[in-house]
Amino acid sequence: MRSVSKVARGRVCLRFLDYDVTVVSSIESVLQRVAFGFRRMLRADIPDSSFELEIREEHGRYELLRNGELLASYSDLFEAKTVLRHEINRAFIYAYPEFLWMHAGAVAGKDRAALFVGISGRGKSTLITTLCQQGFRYLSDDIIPLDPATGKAIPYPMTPIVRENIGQELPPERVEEIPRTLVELPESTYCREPVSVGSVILPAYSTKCQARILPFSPGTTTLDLVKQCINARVHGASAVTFMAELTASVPVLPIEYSDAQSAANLVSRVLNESSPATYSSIGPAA
Amino acid sequence: MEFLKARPSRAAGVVSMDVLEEKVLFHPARQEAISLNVSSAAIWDLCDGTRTVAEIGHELSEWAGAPDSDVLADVERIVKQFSELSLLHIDTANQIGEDA
Repeated sequence: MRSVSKVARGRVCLRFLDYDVTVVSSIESVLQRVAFGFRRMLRADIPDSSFELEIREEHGRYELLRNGELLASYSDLFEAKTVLRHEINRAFIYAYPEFLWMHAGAVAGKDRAALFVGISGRGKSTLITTLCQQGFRYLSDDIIPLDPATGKAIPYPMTPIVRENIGQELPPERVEEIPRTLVELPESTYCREPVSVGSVILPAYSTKCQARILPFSPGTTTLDLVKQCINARVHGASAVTFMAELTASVPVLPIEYSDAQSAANLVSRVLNESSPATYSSIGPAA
Repeated sequence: MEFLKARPSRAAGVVSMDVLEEKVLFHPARQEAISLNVSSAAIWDLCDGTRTVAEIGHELSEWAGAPDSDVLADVERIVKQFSELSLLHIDTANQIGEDA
């Protein structure tokens, strides 16, 4: 793990819009992990008072605290770090409940964002980082807030994490076994302004083909979007309405792929075309 | 046969949204969303409390150009599913009134 200069005095501070989350720990690897995982959200300074998360070692266990209150205790530091990452995201989600927080990634093209929606292990991050290498700008790879008032995706620039291509499909419960790597994208790749959502991509890793676009059901897609909306319950019917309108108003591309490069080429081509009639194009079978 | 004379009507509060040719319903009290394909959406639209299940089946069979009996079985099944999900009320009072 690389050193990040903004780690200081046993704490790092992260900012999303106007909200700060400070992470405190005497364990260097915890701070390094946070600093690298949220590299583009690091504040240069540490504010006096902000929401605080801490990991401390006590009697050989790792305790996670929120504003001084014990949340949980772990025997495994890696697990504690993973939960810490979730707690950081949760803090920002609670700070901005007015947004629809999607378990999704996003890239920006010229003036529109493509949303990559799906549960972990479907290939969102791999496709997103591949598209960023082709000139698209990065908004997020795992969580993205949508502003229902504007229909725009707001950059949430966590450092992308991609899973290795192991060349086989695994059931959802085994996806976590696949080794993952943090990917450093150049600063110029990061999109810093909200972008209107112009398409929805539903990626799924499959060994059946290199890359192909599948037919979709608008109703089922709407439900899938609602399921991937982390705070859908807070918004109730308005979340469902938003997802229904999104599904009906932008191109939806369920894509099945085994080769990220082929899939990125296919998505890129479709995103750069304006006619929805081209969406039935099928990639070469493996 | 009794079921065919019932007049299903949409439950209060259920939000219906068109999504291209399909529909999504949201039941606020149950916090559930349900997607409907084209056929189910057509049945849902006709469940307005004025038509019996048999009449809905007949209307759809005319629209689809299929025999009543074929369509009616599907309509019965789907209306029952809607009812089980508390999306519809089966108006038995209206049915009894008509029979009397």
